[in-house]
Amino acid sequence: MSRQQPVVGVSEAITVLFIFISAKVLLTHIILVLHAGMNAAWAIPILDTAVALLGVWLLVSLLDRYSGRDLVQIGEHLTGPYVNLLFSLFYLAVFLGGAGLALRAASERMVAGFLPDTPISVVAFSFLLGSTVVSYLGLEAVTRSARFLAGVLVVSALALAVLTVPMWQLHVFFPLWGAGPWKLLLGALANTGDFVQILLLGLIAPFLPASKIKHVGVWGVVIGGFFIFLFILLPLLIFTFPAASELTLPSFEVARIISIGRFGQRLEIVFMPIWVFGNLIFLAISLYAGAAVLTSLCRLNDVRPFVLAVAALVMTVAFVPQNVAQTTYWSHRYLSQYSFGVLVVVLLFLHAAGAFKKGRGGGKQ
Amino acid sequence: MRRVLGVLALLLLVMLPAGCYDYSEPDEKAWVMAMGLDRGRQNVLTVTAVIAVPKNIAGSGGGQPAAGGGGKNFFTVSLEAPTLLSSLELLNAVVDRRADLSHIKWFVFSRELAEQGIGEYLAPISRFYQFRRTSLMLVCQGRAEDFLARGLPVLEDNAGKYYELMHRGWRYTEFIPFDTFHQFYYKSSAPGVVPVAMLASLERKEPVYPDNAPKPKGKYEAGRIPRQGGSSIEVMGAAVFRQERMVGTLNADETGLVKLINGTLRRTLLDVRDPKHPDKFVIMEVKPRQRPSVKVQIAGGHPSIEVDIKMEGGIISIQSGEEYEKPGNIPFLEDAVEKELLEDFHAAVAKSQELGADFFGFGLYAKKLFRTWPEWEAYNWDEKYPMASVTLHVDFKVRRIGLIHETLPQK
Amino acid sequence: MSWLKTLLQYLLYHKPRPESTVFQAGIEDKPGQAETGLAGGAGGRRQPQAAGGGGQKTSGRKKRGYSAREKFSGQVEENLSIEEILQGEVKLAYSLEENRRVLAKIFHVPQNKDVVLRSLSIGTNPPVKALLVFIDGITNAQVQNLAILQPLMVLSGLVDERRGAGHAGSVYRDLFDRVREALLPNNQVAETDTYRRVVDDVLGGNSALLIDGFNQALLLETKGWHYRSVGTPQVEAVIQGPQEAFTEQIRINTSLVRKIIRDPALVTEFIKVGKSSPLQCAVMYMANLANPDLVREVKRRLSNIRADYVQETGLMEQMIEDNPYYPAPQVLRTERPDRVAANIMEGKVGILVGGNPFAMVVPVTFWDLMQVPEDAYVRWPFGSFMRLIRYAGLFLAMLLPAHYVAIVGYHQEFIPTDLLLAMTGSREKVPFPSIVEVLIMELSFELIREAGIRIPGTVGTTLGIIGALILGQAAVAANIVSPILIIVVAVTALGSFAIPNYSFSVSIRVLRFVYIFLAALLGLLGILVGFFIHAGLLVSLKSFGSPFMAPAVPVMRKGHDYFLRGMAWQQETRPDYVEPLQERRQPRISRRWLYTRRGRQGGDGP
Repeated sequence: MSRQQPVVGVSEAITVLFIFISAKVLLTHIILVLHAGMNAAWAIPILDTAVALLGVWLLVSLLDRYSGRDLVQIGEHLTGPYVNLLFSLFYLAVFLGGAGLALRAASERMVAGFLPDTPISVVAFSFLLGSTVVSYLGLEAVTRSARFLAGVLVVSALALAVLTVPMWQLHVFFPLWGAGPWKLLLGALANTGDFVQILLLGLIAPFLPASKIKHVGVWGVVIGGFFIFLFILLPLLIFTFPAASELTLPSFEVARIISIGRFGQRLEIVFMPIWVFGNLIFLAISLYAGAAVLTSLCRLNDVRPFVLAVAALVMTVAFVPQNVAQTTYWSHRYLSQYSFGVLVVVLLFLHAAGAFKKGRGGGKQ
Repeated sequence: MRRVLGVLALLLLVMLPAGCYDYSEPDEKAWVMAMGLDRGRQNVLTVTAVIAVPKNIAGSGGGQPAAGGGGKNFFTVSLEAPTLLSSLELLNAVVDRRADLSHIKWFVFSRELAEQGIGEYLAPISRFYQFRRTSLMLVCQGRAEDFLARGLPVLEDNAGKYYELMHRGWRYTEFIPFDTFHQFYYKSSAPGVVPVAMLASLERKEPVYPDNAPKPKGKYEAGRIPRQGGSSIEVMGAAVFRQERMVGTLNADETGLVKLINGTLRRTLLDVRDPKHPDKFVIMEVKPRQRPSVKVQIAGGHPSIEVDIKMEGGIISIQSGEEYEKPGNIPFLEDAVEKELLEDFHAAVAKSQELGADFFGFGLYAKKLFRTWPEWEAYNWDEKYPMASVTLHVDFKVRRIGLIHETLPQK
Repeated sequence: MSWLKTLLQYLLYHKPRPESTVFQAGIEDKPGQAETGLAGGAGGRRQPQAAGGGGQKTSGRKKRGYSAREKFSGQVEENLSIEEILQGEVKLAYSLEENRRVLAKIFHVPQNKDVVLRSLSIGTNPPVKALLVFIDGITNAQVQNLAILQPLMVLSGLVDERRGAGHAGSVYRDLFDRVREALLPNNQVAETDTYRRVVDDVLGGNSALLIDGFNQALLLETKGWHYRSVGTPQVEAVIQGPQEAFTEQIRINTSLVRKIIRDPALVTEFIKVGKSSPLQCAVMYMANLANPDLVREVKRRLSNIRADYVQETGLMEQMIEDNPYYPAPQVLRTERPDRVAANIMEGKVGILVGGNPFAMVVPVTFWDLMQVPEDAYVRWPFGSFMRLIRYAGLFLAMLLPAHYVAIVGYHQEFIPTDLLLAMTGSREKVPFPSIVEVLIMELSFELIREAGIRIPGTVGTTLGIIGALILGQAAVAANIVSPILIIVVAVTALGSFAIPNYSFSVSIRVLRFVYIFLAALLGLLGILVGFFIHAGLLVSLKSFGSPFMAPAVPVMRKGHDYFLRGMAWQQETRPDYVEPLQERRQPRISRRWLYTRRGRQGGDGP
């Protein structure tokens, strides 16, 4: 079956990228940066955005040099199949591990907040069903539905911020340096993994307008960084420093606290689309990206055979952690902390390999 | 395709009875409107739940209101339980419908329990998903079970609305604190401020004061309001907590000042002693003109706090017939109000330093002086605060004088 | 005693008489079917099947047909031979008798009284035998008499006599040529040499003239069937705007469009669709606007339909739409010429189906389905407001009952306490769970609506009374549903009526039940997951190559007329998703009078 090459517009790509980066604000582990930054933890996403922009620069310069190929194909071209397999396993780990833990965390949050008596498997299955169907429909469906629903997400996220304005405690910004400038910087470096999702750019690059990859990367990271910043700042402003760090579901609590008169209370249902759509889009992207890595690795043309397999794998990963706390700490430890460093190492290696190959004269095709 | 659809439909059918785990009709739940906690008689706690009786509130089917409004609109169940949430389970033994706490409005702690310490009861409220941080914390004089059982609303059918509206007075009076559980909770964990809770009580049957000498209303507090009639519960003033233990109460005026510094005072009426006729009162409406400015300096280990309050207001009534509304006389009134506020404020600050409880939240302004959080924590504000010197500047301006612009002498 | 016996027989035993119909279906099928079942079960795989991929079902169906086909094998064979003549483009014969025989066979003439095979002789010298074939009732007898029969039979001789026989040969090649050129004062004459074309035209209301000795036929324009005159729109009524609608005559329909677009670039192409009774389809587009690929695609789809019966726009729509499984129309059906014209002017393609008062416009987007022409005819704030109301109606119609179920069943904390207690109190005596209540009410509402369409007009008034009783106070008073549900159902109904496109509205009504089930299953989570899948399907849907949700996703250049209605002078570009040949619709400054000085005359600038 000859399917047309999917086409992803700039706007869709930016949306997908920023949702992919910032969907983690809907879960727990984002709040763990409060340990590193204390009441100035809002600065960490800002610093991380800057770091992530460097990562985007590394990634885009690689993608631009070998335009028309995705990261896996570039890796194969530069380092050969065996080393590239290693790299691809890393990409897969980022996508599938991230998706699995996110699936578990999102389902647990649904169970914790809305459906306390429903078995976690049913909730997880419904999440997986939605995301699998959409990612099975292809990259176009994923990006377009993300773009279509992004309005809902952005508007409700901003509404969440606006409706809680009366609760904001501006004294939270003091003491200004939080845990101290040095610790803040270290904390920012330790949490760069929140932006490891820029990896997605490497997989959708062939379907983007060739000259716009950098544009997409920069804006995706900046908007994603803004939302991470917002959703670290909001709990801080509302619950103030020590109390905010104990929240399991910061975004959920922010919605629960809204109280505008006797009528405007208990509004968390209104904001449920953020959590459900945000996580569904994240999962759909992850499933697609995971399948795309496998597709590239196997040099096939169609991702669809892999989507179901990847979905099954994600479901399995989701139920590896014993409990919700483990899910949170794993997400933090393995994804939010080190993964970005590994990504940078991979990219640098690829760059070096590219330079070496070029030096030998056999490089560019 | 048809086969696939068939399989899907079958799956759906299989899921339908298996699903719906959380499905429940609203008339299969018992809606708890308030919970009260007392020291137990036969167990650690006596937990009282106020459960609404919807059929008396809405009238039964057909949309017609219930004839005669026969039954009560709520009933209370008091259970002896080891913890707050174990009572939720026990409740199901007594009430046929499953108790649901998501519409809870009030948490009432008896004063006895509050003075013992309530830290262990705050944890479940912030963790358990049915509780909400927007519900209210109350400390009641006497036992919470009596307080809730006898607190029948007069104007409302729905006890939940009654409870909410009782708190709504924070918008237009000084003596009802604004703080909900949310504020209570973060203030009890943040250094630099201590929480206050609404003070409530059943009406006091015996007289509060022995004589009828003039007493400004601001000196009242819940449980000490001389009155007859009305609903049998009252809320006024606040309970001060320190280290999760109630350490004192604030009367109406002190509560107003706390709200003023916190920025939650909207308006209030002040009984000011007439500067020329000490036995008479001038009633003033008082509003903050801008947010109070609090400057904290730390010199020689002791904080010195400078509070600048700017207020404005209008004359509501002048008992003595003195022509205070004349532009030349207005400063007399302004001075009187400023003096009154200063006096109250000094008393309140003295009380807070005596209790060692910074319920004004001056510590939140002191935070600015520190560079990092660990430094701020190490400073240990709560210990330093009682030694702080507090200076206050009040600036009051009369803006309007009501519907009479000059007072005629009475014959 | 025999009468007693007879009486007894009548009383006690009545001998079963065989059913008195000649046609019996379903009886002789049974053995055949069982046989196939056995064969399929026992040796389905071993059975050598020529078709291969056909599967058991097809073979079963074939086998079932055999008995009837065997019984009437003669007729079947005859049908096949007719089919061969038509499909094989068999040429006409020289002999008139042969042609008559074949045509009579094709038209089943002795039985079929509609077809008239009129023999005549052309009054030339010597007279020539001819045959006029037409179908009675759909031809115009007046035209036939005056423009065919009279000239041929009477006037031809006059001309002959005056001119003399010698002259004729010089001007005309032969008699056939002469008949066509000189003897038939008919405005459209075509000639053909196949039976198929003759049959097609005769079925279309034309008359075919066959002349002895010529293997050609003349096809004469004599259409004269009856049709409804142009009336007011029945489905898409507007308050302000043109009040004419398409009718059943395709030629009138095309003229209605052409009346609006007086532009030589408006092209009307005719395509025959379908096999056994081909249907005239007009494809209308602006040659200087519409993307030629789009036009080619439309024609490709239309001309590649191989179907038995597609005589209706709805059937045609199902044949050409992109994704038949998806519950949303991918073709805009309208009965308003102004709407077709406006869409054609955007670079879209209009498809008019013969005999149908509904035209199709492709490609269509979600936003088109939610628009009505009136949006453009009223001033822009009202146009935009009406659209907002309509979108609200769409969401209410699709999601409100589901949200009711989800919130009442799962998320009661969201309901304000007072309302919750009121609802709880008023449901105390209702025995059903909310989901059952909702289904009862929604289904009874659908029942009322369906009955309202089917009910004969004379008894129509009773329906309102019954509906008001079912959906009104009675259901509440009987403690079957809670009072608030009445409001939910009523608002849902209003919402679904606000959706302007009928088939879209129907699909939303169906989807509503899906959402209700999802809500009952998982509360709001179910609805949202369902909506996510729904959105994923929507955005990956295409209508004739244009994304269904364009220009929202994929993001394209947006005019001021997709979600809200912009001002008329802002409508400067044509929609991007049809990729028109000219993008600009009007200059940047449409209201030139703002910039021309008052004294100056004429509109076209200095």
